[in-house]
Amino acid sequence: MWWDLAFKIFNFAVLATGLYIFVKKPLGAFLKKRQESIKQAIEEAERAKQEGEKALHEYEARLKKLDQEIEGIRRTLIREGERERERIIKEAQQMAEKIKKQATLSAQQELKMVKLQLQEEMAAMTVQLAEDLLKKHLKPKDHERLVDEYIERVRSLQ
Amino acid sequence: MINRKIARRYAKALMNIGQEDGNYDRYWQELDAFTSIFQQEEQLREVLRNPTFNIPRRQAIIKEIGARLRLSPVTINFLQLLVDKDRMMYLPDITSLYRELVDEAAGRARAHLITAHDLSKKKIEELTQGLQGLVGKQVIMEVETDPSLIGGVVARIGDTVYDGSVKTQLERLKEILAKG
Repeated sequence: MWWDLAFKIFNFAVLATGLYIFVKKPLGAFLKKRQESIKQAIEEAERAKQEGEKALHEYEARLKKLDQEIEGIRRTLIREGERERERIIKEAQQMAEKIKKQATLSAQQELKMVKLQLQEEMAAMTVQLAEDLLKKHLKPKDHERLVDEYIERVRSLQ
Repeated sequence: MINRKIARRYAKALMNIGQEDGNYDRYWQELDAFTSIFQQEEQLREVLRNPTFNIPRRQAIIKEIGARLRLSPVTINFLQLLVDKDRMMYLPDITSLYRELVDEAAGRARAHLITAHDLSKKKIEELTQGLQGLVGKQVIMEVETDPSLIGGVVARIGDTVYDGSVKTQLERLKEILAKG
């Protein structure tokens, strides 16, 4: 029983020693490498975190600036819109004034034409009436008188 | 315009002959007689102006008419010359211009008188004397009646018009009234 236990302990001691002799070196190297790798990964993560934070700050700053830019553009657009509105209103007023003037001129000309036409029609009617009356009432004596007057006028031209 | 120029050249040529032999008045009467027939007879006009009829044939027609009208050889030759030179279409213009030349040479003026109503001989005589005094020449009256004048008379001597018609006075009145 004791012997058995001693043998097992001895076996374990031999195995442990063997293991220590054969595994110590590569395991140490592996662990060291692993440690360095983890360290590097931590450093990279740290760096990435810092960069991320930096980018975040930058983006935040840019966003803040963008808001200002948007506000500026909005104001500019409002200003330009106001100016455009004023220009359109001014142009519309000028156009309305022009149309009004043209309409007035056209109406005046139309009135003038109508007046002239009326005058001409009245003149034609008056003369037609006079002609009809003359044709009806001129007697041979009147014709003779007209010829005599003509002769007198011809003589006065001599 | 060109027609008048050509016609004037022929009228002057005949006038020169007439003034040389002193028969320009006679040639005028003969030319006027032939032109009257020429203007009245469309068939004659067609034949004398148509180049498809040969010149001697057309000249023979003129000679025949000339003999019947007892035209002088000068007038017949003149008309035959017009056929020869293909100028028969200008005959009315030539006659009219020749008449002007004859009137001028004879110291007389031709007045075209238009009256609204027929005038007595006495009135026409008075008008003739009045116009003679005005133009300083003997005036030959050509009287025409046109009732559209309504009243009064219109006399045209050359390019001058002496308008004493009621129609023209009414036209002037219409213009004045229309202008306001």
